[in-house]
Amino acid sequence: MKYLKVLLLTMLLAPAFSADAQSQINAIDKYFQQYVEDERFTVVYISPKLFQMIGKLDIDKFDSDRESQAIMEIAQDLQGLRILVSEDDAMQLYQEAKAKINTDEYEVLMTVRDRDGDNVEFLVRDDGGDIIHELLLLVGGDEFVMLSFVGALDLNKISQLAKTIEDDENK
Amino acid sequence: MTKISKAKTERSLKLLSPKNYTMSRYFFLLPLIAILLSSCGSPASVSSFYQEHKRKAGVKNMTIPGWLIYAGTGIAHDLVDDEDTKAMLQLAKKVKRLQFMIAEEQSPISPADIQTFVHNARADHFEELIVVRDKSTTVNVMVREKGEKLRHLLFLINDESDFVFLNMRTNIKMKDIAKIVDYFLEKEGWDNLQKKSEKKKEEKPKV
Repeated sequence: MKYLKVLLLTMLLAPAFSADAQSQINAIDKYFQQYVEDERFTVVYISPKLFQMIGKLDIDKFDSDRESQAIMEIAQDLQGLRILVSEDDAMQLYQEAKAKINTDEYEVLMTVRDRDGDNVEFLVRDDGGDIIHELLLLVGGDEFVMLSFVGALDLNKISQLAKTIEDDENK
Repeated sequence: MTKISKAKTERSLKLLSPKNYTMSRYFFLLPLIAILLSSCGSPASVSSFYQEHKRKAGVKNMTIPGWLIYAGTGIAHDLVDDEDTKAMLQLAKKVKRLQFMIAEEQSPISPADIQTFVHNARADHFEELIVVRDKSTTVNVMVREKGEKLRHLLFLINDESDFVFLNMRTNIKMKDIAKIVDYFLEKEGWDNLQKKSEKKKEEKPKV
């Protein structure tokens, strides 16, 4: 009976949690959707399908090279890339995008601001472990840039790649 | 010869006999029809869009059938000496049909028509690979897979006045693309990249 209660409670709460996460994802998605047809913006969208296809490429040359192998392993985990760029009302767009980001969901990795008023902010959405689900880059200043990398970026794989590059350079 | 195979042979001969001439003729037509159908098949969304707009004023269109591409690439393959072109022609040989439509200066195909088409293509199992839009220019690359093959590749380029539509029916597999990437890495990029990287290491002062 106790287990049944726990199960029922989990079933009731699960949609609430997933709806919360979904609403946050949708806030960024909506932001892209809002401006995807706006002619003030340059838009680049690379779909999960293309990353899947790149991941499927069995290139012999890459098999013999540790660095390329590491890059391909990371590429296989990527699911999509979206970029929005605009030179009009850059600062206003930057503030608007920042306001849409739920700070509970995204963690700031790095913020840079220079004297000219250019702002750069790196944010990540992860599960608290070694996997980053989204890397978000916001730039505000002369131009506004919003870059969103979605996937399962494994920090271990990235550090492996960095190590491989370092090893190769020291050879 | 076993009883069953003997019976089968007799039945086949009966079918080919003058009495059954009409039936055998249709029998031989079947593979031909199958070949023709296989080279004509285009998803409904693509063919209806192409048929709807290809004869509009200011629109130029062209369809190149697979056999012509096969023959053309085959002849070109024998004529050219350049290895890179030969490698590309090998890939081009796998294009089974090419449909091309271009509208220049005041395209009669409106952005709304294109939007609807992209929407319909998605419903027809086309998947977007890349979308790039800069000001009024939009580039869409879509793919429709069947098993291992990239069955249809669709390229759409659209701006204020011009429109380009390219639909390719192909038998290209991912391993074919991997092969060509391998070839160019071997020939052009890889060794140069390796050399450049080694040169950089040599130039780098050791601390």
